Amino acid sequence: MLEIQDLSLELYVDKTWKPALRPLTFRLEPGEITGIIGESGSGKSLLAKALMNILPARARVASGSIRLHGTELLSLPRHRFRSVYGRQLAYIFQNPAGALNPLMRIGDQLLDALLAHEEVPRKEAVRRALKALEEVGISDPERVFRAYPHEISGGMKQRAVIACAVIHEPDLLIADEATTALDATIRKQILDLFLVLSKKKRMSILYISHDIAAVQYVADKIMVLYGGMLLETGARGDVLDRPLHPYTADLLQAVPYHVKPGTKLAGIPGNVPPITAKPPGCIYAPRCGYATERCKEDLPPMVVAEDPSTAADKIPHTHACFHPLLRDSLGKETHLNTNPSSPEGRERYVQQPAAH
Amino acid sequence: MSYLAQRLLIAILLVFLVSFASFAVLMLLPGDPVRLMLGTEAPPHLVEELRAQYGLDRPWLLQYADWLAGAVSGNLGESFIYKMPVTQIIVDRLPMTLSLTIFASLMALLIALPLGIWAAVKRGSWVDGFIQAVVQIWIAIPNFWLGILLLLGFTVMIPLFPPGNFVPISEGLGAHLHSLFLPALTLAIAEAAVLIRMFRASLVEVLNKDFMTFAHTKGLPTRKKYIRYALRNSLIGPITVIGLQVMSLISGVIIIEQIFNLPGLGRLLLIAVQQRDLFLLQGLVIFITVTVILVNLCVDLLYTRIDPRIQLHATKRRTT
Repeated sequence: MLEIQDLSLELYVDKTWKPALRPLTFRLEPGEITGIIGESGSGKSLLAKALMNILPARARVASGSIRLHGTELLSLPRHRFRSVYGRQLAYIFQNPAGALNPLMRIGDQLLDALLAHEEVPRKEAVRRALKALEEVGISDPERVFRAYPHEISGGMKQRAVIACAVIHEPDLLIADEATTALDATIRKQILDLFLVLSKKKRMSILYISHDIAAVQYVADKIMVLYGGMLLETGARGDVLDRPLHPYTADLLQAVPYHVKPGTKLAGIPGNVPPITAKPPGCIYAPRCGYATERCKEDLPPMVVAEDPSTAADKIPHTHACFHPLLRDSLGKETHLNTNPSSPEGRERYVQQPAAH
Repeated sequence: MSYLAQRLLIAILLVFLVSFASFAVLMLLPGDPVRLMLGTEAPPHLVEELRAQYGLDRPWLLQYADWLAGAVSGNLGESFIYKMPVTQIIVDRLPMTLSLTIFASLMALLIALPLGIWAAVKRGSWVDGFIQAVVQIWIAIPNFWLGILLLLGFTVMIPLFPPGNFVPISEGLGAHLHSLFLPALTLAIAEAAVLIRMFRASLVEVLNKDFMTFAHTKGLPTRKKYIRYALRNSLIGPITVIGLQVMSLISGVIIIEQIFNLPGLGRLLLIAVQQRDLFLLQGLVIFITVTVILVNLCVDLLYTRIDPRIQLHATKRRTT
């Protein structure tokens, strides 16, 4: 449905254009939730904005193609996007309060979204708007319809935003940190709503978050972004339970949920390299316990893993690492290419991620 | 007690305090209206006689009490120089000042709104730069100089407007506005400059908000996006400024009235101060105070019309 081919993005920093997202290729299919995991600065939000054609002025697409049902979006004139928005592509934000016009009633904003693409008589429009509110799990749609944004709770606001975004049942819904600002119980309800939209309405959802637990809960497919590079993709189970890229493994070790109780959280030493000082080789090499000289000089290509456990799976498990983590027959991690110069790095990987 | 009742009570108290303060200041200031009326060579007994006639020989607190008693019943006293009731003088001058205020404010708004929106939408472009440069110049131009230039240009060199002929509204709206066009334009230019900046700044802020991006990705038509989402959200700042401008216009614009020979409240104020016309000055101060209070109230009420989050409560506690 949506095909992204060698898409790369650049950011304007210090008066030059610097690569912010190295060429990446992936597809999004109807009825599928794709989770993008990445730390701040990984380029995940920029990717989402590029797909929506709402990149800020300091960012631009350097190369590649984004095709929606075969139509190239990158060459689509700006005014033509109006008919794409809402009906084919929809986007929701991290902060639901900011996404709603504070001076307009929820109902009017919903009607605006509906009437942007359809000529509907007022009565019919109101009926459909109320139904849309009900479908996103709002129990008293009449009250919310008449309310101003400041009169309803954060969870309600995010539901209202989702109702606005999906009222025309778009092919793709991009949720950029859409549950990060919500508390745990509301977050689960919103995630369940995404599952319903994806499975019942066959919507494709691109769920972007640094919240690994949330991604694990909803995503069918996971992409791991780091410093503007795609490091690993695959089915949820493959990526989270059998990570191949050392970065993914390190990231999981830093999440309480994935570690045995009583063990110290590992954390990842060092920081994401700034956009102005990206290494020529693997982007993770400076922080990686397994990095060799080759990692520091050559860019590892994206390859499909020949892991026997994923052979039967339809979603290929890919990674961009010269020394992927391997597993023995017991499912324990072993690593054949461990860098002898960093024994502490080796030690980290002996421990198996806790089952959950 | 309702919000309006509370505001009214505060207003009455304020008017009382202002009237007392201004009366006290006028009494303490050097300068004697009787001396000014009769001249410095006047015989002392005549001066004393006149002072007694106006009651100026009594303690000033007593005089204030007298004035207050009259004021409460709507009598603001009589002017020394015009020999007319103060209220009558103010009411005579008011229509012209009111006309000029409304005319100039509307003109300023008509200039500022489109230019401010244009600059904000095209922010960073040469259009924006050009508008900002023009605004900078408009702010720098002294009002009186612009007034003289316009007067010279459009009454003498190109006689589009009659010089110094104020036509009251009773002689036809068209002629009335025609005679007020140049002074209104002079005032409007300076006000529009400030307003353009205000509109641009608040619009730019709003255009960067998430809800604008969301409105955009909902596929809303451009006009709806800018008017219903952006413009309405950026009105609070400009309305505050418009309120302040209306206040200063209604209390009179001395220099502009002088240049264009307009019988407005500004000139009246000047005369009253120069001639130590106690009651006239007192009356004008009261009038200006009341106007300021009323305009402020209107601005506050407008806020609530624009932004549902702003609510006016009788008590200071805000319930949410």
